[in-house]
Amino acid sequence: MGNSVASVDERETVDTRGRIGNVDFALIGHQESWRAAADVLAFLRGPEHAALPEDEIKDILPWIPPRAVCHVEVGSKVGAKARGIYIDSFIPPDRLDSAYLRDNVARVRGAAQCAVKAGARIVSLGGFSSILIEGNFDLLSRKT
Amino acid sequence: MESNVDLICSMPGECAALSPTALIWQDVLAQAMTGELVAAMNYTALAGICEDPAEIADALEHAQGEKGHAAAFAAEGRRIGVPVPNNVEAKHWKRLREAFMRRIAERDFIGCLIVQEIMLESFAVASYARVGRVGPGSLGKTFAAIAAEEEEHIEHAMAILRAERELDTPRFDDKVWQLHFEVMTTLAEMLARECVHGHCEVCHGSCVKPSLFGISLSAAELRGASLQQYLRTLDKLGLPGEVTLAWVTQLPV
Repeated sequence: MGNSVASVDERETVDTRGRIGNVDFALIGHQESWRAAADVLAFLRGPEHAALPEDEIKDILPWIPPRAVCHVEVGSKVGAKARGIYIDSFIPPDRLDSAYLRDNVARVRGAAQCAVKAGARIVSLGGFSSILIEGNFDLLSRKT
Repeated sequence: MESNVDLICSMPGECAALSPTALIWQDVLAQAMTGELVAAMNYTALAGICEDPAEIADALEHAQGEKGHAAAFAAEGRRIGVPVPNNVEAKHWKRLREAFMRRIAERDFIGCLIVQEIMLESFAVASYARVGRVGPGSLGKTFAAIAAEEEEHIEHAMAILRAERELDTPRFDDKVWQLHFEVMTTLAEMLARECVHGHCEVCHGSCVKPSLFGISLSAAELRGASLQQYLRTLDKLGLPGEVTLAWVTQLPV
């Protein structure tokens, strides 16, 4: 990502001390396939650990509460920088249909709480999350 | 282990009258009872390193409470016609106990709270709550009630641990990280879908995990719920969610 204006700051994800400092923005999303979910978990496990088998991923991922997965830094051409976080709602890829509406809204709400806690002034919902909320932002405000 | 041996064969006449799921419940109760007895031993040991009389009284009260839980599980076993064995020397429980006792040896009060309240109790609260949902009658109610009581323990400890974290956050988080790998690795092996390292020395026969579907449970569900509870407890303590998630994903499966 050397020439990109956006980068994932991997150091933040492996720093056991971590930080909850204020960020400028938060991106809320989820993985659309088990392959993509496996990539996220493999990234978190680190290269020294073998990748989790797909059946284990399918068992574990639905139980993960929404949370920040990595930090993102974006730079403009004039040198301004903005710090953000990517928050995964961990909606399982096979639970995107209406039968899971209540649970999925709760997950997006939980992700929004993470953004608030991190001090994000701007929060971007992904395509699915936006449709799920359907402009009813009151759904996000409970418990935040 | 002695109490586990020949349990079924010694009462063949009674087995015929047992519910088809009684022997599954026997193992579930045995694991729960063993965990409660380990907790009682841990709190008793904790009382030994406390200096404040109020803390000593608190730890001893907790120990008594855990013994009461163990007795309640034994009573539920009797109610469904099975004795409930226990084995605090069983390999996983023994390792968990040893990890706690290393903290005792170092007179590390905060380390003890992290192991018992954050790690072991998270496991207890989540798994008891799931068992409470599917347990028939008083058995389910007992598990649910004990889950609620254990959750109160966690809340009590949270205030102490949050204050400690405020004093020196990096040091506190490093301590949690070290204890995580020491204790949660063992818990993760206990909660794995299969006991790949041999018999757990608590189940009365073969591993109960594959049979859990018979009582509308699964090992995967108990593991998932326990890890979720653990992550949420660490969130409440204030540890960064992306850091604790990485820890959890690195546990053995």
